[in-house]
Amino acid sequence: MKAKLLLIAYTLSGVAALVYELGWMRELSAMLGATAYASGTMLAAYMLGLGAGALFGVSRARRIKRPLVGAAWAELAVAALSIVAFAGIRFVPGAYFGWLRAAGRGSAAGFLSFQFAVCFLIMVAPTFAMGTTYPLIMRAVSRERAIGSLAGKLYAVNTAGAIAGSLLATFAALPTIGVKGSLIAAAALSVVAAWLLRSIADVHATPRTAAVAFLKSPMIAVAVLAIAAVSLIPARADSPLGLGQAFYYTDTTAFNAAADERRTLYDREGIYSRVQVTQNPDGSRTLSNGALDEGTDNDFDRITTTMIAAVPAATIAAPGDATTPATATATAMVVGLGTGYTSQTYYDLGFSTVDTVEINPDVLPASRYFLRDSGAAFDTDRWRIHVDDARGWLLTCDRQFDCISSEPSWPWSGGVAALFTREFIAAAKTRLTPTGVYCQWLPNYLLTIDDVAMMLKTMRSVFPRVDIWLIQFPESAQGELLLVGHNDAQAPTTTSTTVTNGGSTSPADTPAATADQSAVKSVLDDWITAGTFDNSLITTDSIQPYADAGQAAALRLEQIEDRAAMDTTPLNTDDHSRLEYRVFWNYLNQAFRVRWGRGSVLEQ
Amino acid sequence: MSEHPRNQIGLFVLLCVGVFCAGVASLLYEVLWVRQLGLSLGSTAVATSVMLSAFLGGLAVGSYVMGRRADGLAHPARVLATVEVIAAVLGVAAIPALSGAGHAYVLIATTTGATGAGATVLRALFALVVMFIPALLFGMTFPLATTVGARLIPAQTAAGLVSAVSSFGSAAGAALCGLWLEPTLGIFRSACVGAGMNLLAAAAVFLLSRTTGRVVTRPDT
Repeated sequence: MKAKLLLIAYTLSGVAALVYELGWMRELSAMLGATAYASGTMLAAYMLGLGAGALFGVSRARRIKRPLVGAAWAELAVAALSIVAFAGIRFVPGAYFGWLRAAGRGSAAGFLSFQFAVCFLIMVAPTFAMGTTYPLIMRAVSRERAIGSLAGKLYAVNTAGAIAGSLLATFAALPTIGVKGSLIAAAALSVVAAWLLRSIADVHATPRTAAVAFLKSPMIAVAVLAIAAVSLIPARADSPLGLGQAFYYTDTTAFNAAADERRTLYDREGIYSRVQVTQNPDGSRTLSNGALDEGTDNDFDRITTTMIAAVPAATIAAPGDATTPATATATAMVVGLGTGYTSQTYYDLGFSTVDTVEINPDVLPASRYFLRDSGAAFDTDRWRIHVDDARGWLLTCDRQFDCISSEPSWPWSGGVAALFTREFIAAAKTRLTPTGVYCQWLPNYLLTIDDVAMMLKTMRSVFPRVDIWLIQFPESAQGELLLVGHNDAQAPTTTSTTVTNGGSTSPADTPAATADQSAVKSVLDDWITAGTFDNSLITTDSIQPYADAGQAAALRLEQIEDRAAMDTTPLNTDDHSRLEYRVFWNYLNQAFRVRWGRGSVLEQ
Repeated sequence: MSEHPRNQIGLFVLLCVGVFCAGVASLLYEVLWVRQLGLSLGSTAVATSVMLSAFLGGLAVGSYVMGRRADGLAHPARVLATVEVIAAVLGVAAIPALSGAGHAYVLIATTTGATGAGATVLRALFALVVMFIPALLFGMTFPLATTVGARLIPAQTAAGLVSAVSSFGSAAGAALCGLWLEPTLGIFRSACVGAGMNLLAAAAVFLLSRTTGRVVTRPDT
């Protein structure tokens, strides 16, 4: 019976451990950014705490007479220190920028060291306590001749508990009771585990006498204090401060001043992240996902979100041959809903169907705060939303599209980076009609010449023709890029940006199935002049073939073309998603150096 | 520990080197496989959780099954070395296998029209098929290493130290993978580094078993 209780206690410990881990990671990744770097440092800090705790447990186990009582205390310490960790996470963001500035100094090693130190400081105490449990239990119950069996059983039940904890946290606890509630629930499980361990610590104890002993011991006071303390911590910050804000604010004072003036319209802690819609003092609205700003309804942002649909739409609408469909009979697919403006643009341009694939279900209600008539078009037959992974949906759907637009989130996020790779682009190509086009958004302001060259080469490894478009903003030097891949192999080469794959064909001698960039530009200009896009900032200068966007752009394009032609320029692939890491460092360079008074590497 | 000859403590250190390397490899694979799974079979929360559960389930079953046999093994160190060698092969092979599973999943899903729960079950099955055996092997490492350690130094101390060293290895694996290997080498070549760590672990444990066959065999043999 006691052996079973021990296994139950250790299973509960495993359940709680995963709930803690996922809860802390949810909070920390909002602050640190949901990058592979952040995941690595968080996981390393967690495991380091466990290892240090196990070492301590080994030394303690040899000295104390009743190791199971020690293990019970360790479980209580886990509960109490987890609350401290949560409070730490709440405290840290306020000082984050200042620390970043002091410790990071814009260098890679400094930043990563700082990031690891933050994770370690927050996680070390509770994970240290977790780590001590196992050696204490082994000390109490193991025998020399059956050590492997016991170790195997304990590891197995703890891992089984971890599976349960992972599922529980992801699908039940975090979406319903949030991070704070989940941590309280996990702390309660730790207390139960402590009670079970305490109850079997006495050889002659019955569950009743053990319960009495537990209630009389200082343990219960610790447990009550731990649970009570958490109620004092705010469930969530009104405006989470994360790495994403480093781009917009120079310090916490500036951020806090802006945050105080915001009004929260929508706030949902979901299975992926916390999705928020806030209203800014100027009346504009911001959509944020895990403390990263994903989009706004201001006219600047809407230039991009509109053009991501308008350019491919104009491409198929421009004069080509007789097989080119008009928009009224054309179909479009959009990767990522966000504020919904891209999909809405296709809808407004009269596409027969618009299919939008969004992985995060909580973005759907959030996008209604941005769309005309609160997204009433969602409910029509012409616009269908699919909550799914875009790649899986593309590969398994049985339809083809005239236009596919990909406007995922920031490329440094782990799951999002997969939407910029050669394999994803190739998957999209399989779902294009013979004259279809694929439009890839790129944050030019975060890309070096080498990065753009890599993405251009990646696109050209899939499509026979790739056009480059520049979205220009008033008073902004770099703007954003759209790479438009054409499915038809027989395309004209009328501008310097239109280069065939490998240069082996002579497309100018063959009939064009889709229009050249100047024809597309004419269609766009007609739409803009006619006021199709309901945005006064969109002018005919807002969108240009990159080659025609001025001397500086032409010079940059020349360098991009040169580097894209080099054998040494890599592709961005599933196996090695280089863009994910490069954009992250570029972002830091921007945030650290431009915002805080140094030169940006992007200007080199 | 002081009751044990100094050379046995030295051998336990050698075991710890192996356990550390195995810990590095296991975290490397966990991170890399989950990433490859997301690329091959989708990265929805349901898919990711189901696939992670398949991985952890393999660990749990492997640990339980080997735990029942480890104490009775005459040469647990040799078994541990063998497990590490097989884990090296399967750890790397799992990457292309997962990619292939992705293609097979697409083929079956499009043929059968599986969506929603059906697609999730299909993904879980593919994840199980590819990941369960290697995860099973990783799960076997812990009880085997504990058994070997317990024949070198006091059992309870050995158990705790093996756990600590394994956690340190995992911490190193997480940091190595997230901060350096994946950004610079990509998934497959990072998995090859993991295989190298498995082979290092196998070499350390094999050396231990060759040097001290008498102390790491079952006490009554």
